[in-house]
Amino acid sequence: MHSQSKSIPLWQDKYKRQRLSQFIFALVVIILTALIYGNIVDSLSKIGMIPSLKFLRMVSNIDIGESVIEVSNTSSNLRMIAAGFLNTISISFLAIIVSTILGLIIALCRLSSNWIINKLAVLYIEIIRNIPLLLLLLIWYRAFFLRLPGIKTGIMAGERLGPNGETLLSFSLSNRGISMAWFKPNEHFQPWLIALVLSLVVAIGVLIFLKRREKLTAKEQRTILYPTLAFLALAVISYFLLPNAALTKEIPVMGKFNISGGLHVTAEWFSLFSGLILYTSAFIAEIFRAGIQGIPKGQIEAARSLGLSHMKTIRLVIIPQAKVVVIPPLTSQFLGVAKNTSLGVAIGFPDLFAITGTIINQTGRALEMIILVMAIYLGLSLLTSLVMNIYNRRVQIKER
Amino acid sequence: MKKRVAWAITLLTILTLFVGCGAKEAPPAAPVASAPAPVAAAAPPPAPAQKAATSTLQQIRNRGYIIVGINASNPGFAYLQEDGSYQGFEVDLAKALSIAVFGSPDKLEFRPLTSKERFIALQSGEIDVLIRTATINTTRDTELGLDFTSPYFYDGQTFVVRDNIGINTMEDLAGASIAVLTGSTTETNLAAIMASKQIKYRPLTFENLDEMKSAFINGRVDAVSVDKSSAVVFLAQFENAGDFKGLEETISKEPLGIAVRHGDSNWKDICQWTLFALFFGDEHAITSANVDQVLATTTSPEIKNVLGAGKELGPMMGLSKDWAYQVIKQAGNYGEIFDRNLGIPMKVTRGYNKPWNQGGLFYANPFN
Repeated sequence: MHSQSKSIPLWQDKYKRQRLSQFIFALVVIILTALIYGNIVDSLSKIGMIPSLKFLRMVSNIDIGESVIEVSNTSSNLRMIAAGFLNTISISFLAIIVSTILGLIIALCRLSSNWIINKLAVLYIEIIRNIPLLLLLLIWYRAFFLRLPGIKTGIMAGERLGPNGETLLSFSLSNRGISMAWFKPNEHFQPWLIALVLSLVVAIGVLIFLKRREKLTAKEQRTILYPTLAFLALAVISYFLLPNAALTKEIPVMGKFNISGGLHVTAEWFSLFSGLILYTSAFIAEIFRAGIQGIPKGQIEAARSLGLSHMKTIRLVIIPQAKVVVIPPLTSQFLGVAKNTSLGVAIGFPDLFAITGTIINQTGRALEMIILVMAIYLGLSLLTSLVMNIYNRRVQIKER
Repeated sequence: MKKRVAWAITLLTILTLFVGCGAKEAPPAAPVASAPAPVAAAAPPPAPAQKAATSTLQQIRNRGYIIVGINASNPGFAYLQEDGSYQGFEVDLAKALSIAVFGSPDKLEFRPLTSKERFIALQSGEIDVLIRTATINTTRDTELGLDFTSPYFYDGQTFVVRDNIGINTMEDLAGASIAVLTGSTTETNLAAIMASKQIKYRPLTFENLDEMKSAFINGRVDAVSVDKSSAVVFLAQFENAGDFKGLEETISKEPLGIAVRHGDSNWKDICQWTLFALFFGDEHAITSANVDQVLATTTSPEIKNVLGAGKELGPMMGLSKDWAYQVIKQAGNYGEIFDRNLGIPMKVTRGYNKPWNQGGLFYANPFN
């Protein structure tokens, strides 16, 4: 077709026509973008606000409630955005893992032949799926966490007097959140970290060895159990072999207003987290159910006729086939979680979106910040999609 | 092929839409920059108001009402009533502006805004004027492209705490959880003062006053940091207000001003001098009740100027001759507006918010 194209006129040449229309389309997009951009810059310049990113380096002047990295009111706006970003991804990462596990359990309950368990799962899914997430968060925060007793009268365990007359606690639950004793890395952490990395390398080595053996002998090997055991054993042994303990146990201390030390999970973090996993797991449960029920009954019957046990049927027949169906919709759910964290702004959780809003207000740089945040969320989503797509390609059934 | 034609048409439509927008937006924006130039050849309005052609004032006149950015949930200052109207101190200031421009107090459209949205709404031209407890500071005056009138209210930031736990000064708050509204100067003031005094605290920021209140009442936080006037109003709303108190300490200066877009001095002049007229009435005890009597008996040339019987000051900025008389007659002077909204119902004391000759900070520049 290509070779004939010299003789035929342009409007009848499909190849050239396609190229031309694509070119025009690209041109229109570029012109539109330029027009919009020019318009914005023009109007902004007129009120004396030329778009620039200089404000990112300026001091933020704000304090935020919780952060993975150290920030203060003298940190730059950029660092504040980073703190918000880390809050967003840490909470969404944990929420994704927990809600996937919870979703799988609920899906299995939903498929159970036990009438009560089955109906409870149906009830859970139908109620949670039909409540807006924002409402769920507000219910958790205002009707549950804020109604808990105050910090001094909350639920406490292991109260005792410390050496200096202060009150020590092992666990506390109040309307400020949850506090508990926790192991924290100290200055001797570095050597143990190296030992941990080495243990991981060994564990991967074991895994590769087992996989190869599985191929050679055609006999099933315990490819999950042994590497895990190897890693744990090496980690524990190295911890005790090292001259200085790498972790210190931090015990919460009751202060005048708040509990300090140990692990502290704020009411806002926990409300957002629990709201997210409740909401997402209901959707994920339905995805899993669809995946499992999508497998023809004949497959399972065939597996049983071959003499596979119930567990082996699930592991070797159902899961490999269900995985293929489940991954694309699961990806959308995961993408949703990262974006849904932005609702934390309603309950005072300083995520990326909340901090962005504050910075916009303090600096007045709405356009730049919105574009920046859009880019960050887009990047996050694309990254999630990329990882999930790679995984998807790996588990796809190879048609032969 | 058909599909592609459809595509092309859609694109063209979108394109024309954008071009249309560009064309529409350009003209009103352009003259702003060149507004001071008294050329205005194609200006139809009355001769003395040439300066104002297609300016904010002209846009307001053409539209028939002023669009005011306001708070919907700040009792005493601006509060949405059950019948959909707004009431409060700042609402009355807006009414004074409406009287100055149109001669009647009802030519207004209110846009309720959060503290986060307010400046963007003004920058983008969605509102003409912002009267929403906006503290005047350098960044806002310069970087944000705004202009402020002189303060209409002198406020200061403080803390509201529980009465029975022995907190009397800021130092007592070491280690406490403190709630603050996000996007306000209170947020930055709190961070700055705590850092300078090296007091460690746990901040909790809320976007919404109601969320913050419920966190405070339920004991999620030990203190709330707000402006003094808000503290009084805040406490007035609690059923058991006796259990809470505001600290004596003031940690910041909060001069609240009327904000307009940078670049239209005429519109800013109108806002500023309307405010001065309110101050002037307070200064010379000219009230809505006695303004006619004062006008009839006065011998002071300045009072005559203000009330429209002397020098014609209004037309210099595109207003009527008796604009200030109408403002005082219909809205009352500053003191009346204050008492009506804050003094009597909320028990807010005047503090610095008094004329200079009564020991306050308000000083109306000479009307001459």
